Amino acid sequence: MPRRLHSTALALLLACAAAQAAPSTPGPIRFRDVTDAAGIHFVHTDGSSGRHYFVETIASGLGLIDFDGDGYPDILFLNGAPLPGAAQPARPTASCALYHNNRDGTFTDVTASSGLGVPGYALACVVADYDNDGYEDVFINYYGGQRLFHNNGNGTFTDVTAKAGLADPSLAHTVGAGCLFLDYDRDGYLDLFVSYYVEFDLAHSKPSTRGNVPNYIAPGNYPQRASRLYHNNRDGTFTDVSLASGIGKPLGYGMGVVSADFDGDGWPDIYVGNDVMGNFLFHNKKDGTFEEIGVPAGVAYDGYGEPQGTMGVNVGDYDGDGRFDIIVTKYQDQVNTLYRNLGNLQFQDVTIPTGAGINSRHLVTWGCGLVDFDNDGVPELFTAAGHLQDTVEQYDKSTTYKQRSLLLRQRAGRFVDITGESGALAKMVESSRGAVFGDLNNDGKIDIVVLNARSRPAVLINETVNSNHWVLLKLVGSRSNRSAVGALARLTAGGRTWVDEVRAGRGYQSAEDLRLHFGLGTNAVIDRLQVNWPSGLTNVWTHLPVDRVLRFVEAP
Amino acid sequence: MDFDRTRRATAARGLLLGGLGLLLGFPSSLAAGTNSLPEFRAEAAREYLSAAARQGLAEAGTNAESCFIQARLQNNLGHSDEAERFARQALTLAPARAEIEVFLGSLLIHQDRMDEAAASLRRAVATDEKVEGGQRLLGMILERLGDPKGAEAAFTAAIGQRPGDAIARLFLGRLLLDQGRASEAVAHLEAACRLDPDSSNNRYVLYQAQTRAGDAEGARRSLDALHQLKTKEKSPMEATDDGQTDGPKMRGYAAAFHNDMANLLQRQGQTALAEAHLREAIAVAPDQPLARGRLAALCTHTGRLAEAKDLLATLARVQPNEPSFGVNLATVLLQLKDYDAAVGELERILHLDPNQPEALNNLARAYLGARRQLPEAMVLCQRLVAGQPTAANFDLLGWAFYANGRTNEALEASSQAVQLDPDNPVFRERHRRLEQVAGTHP
Repeated sequence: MPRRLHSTALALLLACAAAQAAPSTPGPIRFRDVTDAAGIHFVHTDGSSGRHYFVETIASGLGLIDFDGDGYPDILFLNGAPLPGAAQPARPTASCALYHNNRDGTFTDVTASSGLGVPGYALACVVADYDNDGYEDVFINYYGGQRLFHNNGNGTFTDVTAKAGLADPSLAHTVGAGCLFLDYDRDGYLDLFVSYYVEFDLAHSKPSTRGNVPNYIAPGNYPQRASRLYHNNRDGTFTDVSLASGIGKPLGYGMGVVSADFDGDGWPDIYVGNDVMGNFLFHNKKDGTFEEIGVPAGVAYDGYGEPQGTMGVNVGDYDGDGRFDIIVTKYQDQVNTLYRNLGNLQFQDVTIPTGAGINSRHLVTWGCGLVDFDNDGVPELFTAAGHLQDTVEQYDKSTTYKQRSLLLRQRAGRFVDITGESGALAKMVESSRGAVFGDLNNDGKIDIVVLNARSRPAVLINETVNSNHWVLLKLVGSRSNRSAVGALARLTAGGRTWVDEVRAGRGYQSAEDLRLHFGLGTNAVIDRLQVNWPSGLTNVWTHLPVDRVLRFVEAP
Repeated sequence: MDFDRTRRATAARGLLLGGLGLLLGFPSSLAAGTNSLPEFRAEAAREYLSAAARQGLAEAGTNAESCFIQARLQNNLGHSDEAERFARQALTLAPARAEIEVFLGSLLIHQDRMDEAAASLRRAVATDEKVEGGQRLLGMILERLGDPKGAEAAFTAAIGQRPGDAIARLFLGRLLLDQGRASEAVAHLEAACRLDPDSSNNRYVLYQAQTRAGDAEGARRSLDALHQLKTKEKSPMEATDDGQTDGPKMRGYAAAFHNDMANLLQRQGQTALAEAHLREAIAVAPDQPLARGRLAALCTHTGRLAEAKDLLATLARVQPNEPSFGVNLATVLLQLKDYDAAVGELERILHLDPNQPEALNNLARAYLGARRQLPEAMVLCQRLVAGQPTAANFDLLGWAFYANGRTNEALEASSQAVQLDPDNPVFRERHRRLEQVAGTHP
């Protein structure tokens, strides 16, 4: 039975940031691009040479990781690598780049010393403390393999893939995709879920043209691959339980993945976005197995039964009903799709009645999130956009390779496009892929980092001016996994209740800030906070202050 | 699922036909045409189509129809700005052409210009409330613009005008489901499933509506049917997304353009140019039947029966299950006095489908006209009337009875024809003569 504990707030919280002076007049949501000023010089490559190798289209995701545990998110940019025919870089460059957050608005490139700068065509990552040693580790999914990097706690990482039992030569021609850390059996250790896109051999790349214009071929021309589930043996090693768990049965074109307790039974389920076919919802049967229920749950296809070219997937509670809804990004001539969680593992495509798909038809969209950027207690919807066909403008004048991402805000129950009023976001026209959300400067306003294909990333600092209140929760498991992945926070203030869950891996093949953020509107006090830990324990705190980072450790 | 449903399906069919054409090994040569276009090559399809567009305008002049044809072609080529320009020019020249407004609305939707699209579609249905696809598309846009009441009215109007519009029923069902009116949605979605039983979309939404309406058993059945349909069908995106080449698609676009041009030029009286376009359409996409069929009709009308016969024979051979080609071929064969071949062709069709009405009708007429196999002709007419009890078919049955010496039954059938179509002078005259023969009329 879960134990319900009441504790005094001050005994357990650590106030990490003071409230900043709050202006009285609410304003629009605005971002400032600080990439240059922050000292971030990373440039993404998809390794392209004009040969249109299929894998180039999907690179890459990125991650936020507090690798030194200082309470400020650092940034891990994933990178491609030169493919045959591509110009070799002037100097050997690390595939990925790790930037340390200096806590003063600047970042320092620490790739070389970190051990993460190993060569490879990196596509997806997930961040969490898999061995419960207090430091966030990284799993990266590549084209041609996968790697687990253990955080040594001193600013360096060690590739422990082989030692952990995760090395697999059969992945030599596999295009990796979204990955998750989750404690599917709730044993206190994080397990690993990995999806894959296709089997693709550079030596057997298939050409494609539109008229005489070369372009990238569709994924259906390459074999699918099943996802995998690795069970954490609690000794630094993992066991592949894909077939026994049921995860390894359906073949898919996996892309973004996300985990959430969709039915509120306390056990994490898994949603897998598949390109050009139905998405999967793996329902956790609580006995180590999963059942794929995407179709009966209403989340395999859009509301009309059409498969989408799903790219990214994320969850959030857009309507404040306490259930986790799903947002899905997609290919051109489709629209971003929002699924409302009706309970009992039933979802409804509410894209049309909510307007969530507005202005997305001509775009190809990737990273996505339901995020409360203005702390008014109601999430906005952000989607990163960019076509994957670099020659599209030669045969389709209705769209472009570089596109403007989308920011939608809820107004009277419908989403409206506010991209044009959002400062730097309105000016960012790129072929964007992964996007992550987190509070880089701990000012309570969620920032965005976007990875732009073949270009520099964008670090977009949220400079929204208003007097709304907020709180960031850093949850630390003790009996549960240390990163508290799967912990559910239920926060009440001013008669309203918000819920969120700690998730490792989401969006488009990316890893976000593991802290939970709540915009509280005008509520200056948190009346009640309840955390349901994956261990089964429940902790409750009351009368908590706002406008700061609160750290809670699971209390036995 | 939304606005692209029809486009995807058409593209998928185009790909299938393209494959068929390659198998048949039809020649693709400009020699058949009279224009100055280069030979169609998949790798240079865009250049070909651009040249064809310029030539088309020169031939037909600038008028609403030629601009509309250009707009469709430019849209197929992905030139949305040019497509819009031509569509607007066509509307300037012919503001009452509601179908052009529908096309423009669809074009604007793909650019996320929903308000403009809604305005265009409102103009379309104001001009012609029954314009094909107008109400349905307007409903889809109004729904997206947050006007569910307006959308419901438009979908309802679309269904009222075309009760067999399965897509409108699907959209209305989906809209009602979104509004929590699951039971009402089920009725429309069941109708959509009846109208288009192979659509997994209809079945999927019906499943959801039944689930929310509490019909667990119905939902289970729908889910089983859905799984079967999804197993059979390939994802539309897998079928039509960027493939190794878009040659088959381009062939389809080129053939459609030449067919459109032929239609326009024929109406302008430029028969020779129209024929050249039809021949070019055949050369570009030899597997697509439209141009060949129309060229056969043109040849028939101009007395070139032998060529018409060859064209129709090819069509009947390529698509043996399509009865209209065989029926038309038989008609031409009869005109060529090749009675045995015509009868053989019609019997072949009836072997495939014993109740195919055109074949029944034509074979009966062939027998009666040649005064051969008269009892068989009578049986054919009886089957025809059983399936299609129309005035014309009763009149034919009367003829068959009369030819077999069964005057009273002939009189009875003829009487039915007159009752069904009392204003038709031919039926009335035939009936009068039969009455005279039967001695019931002075």
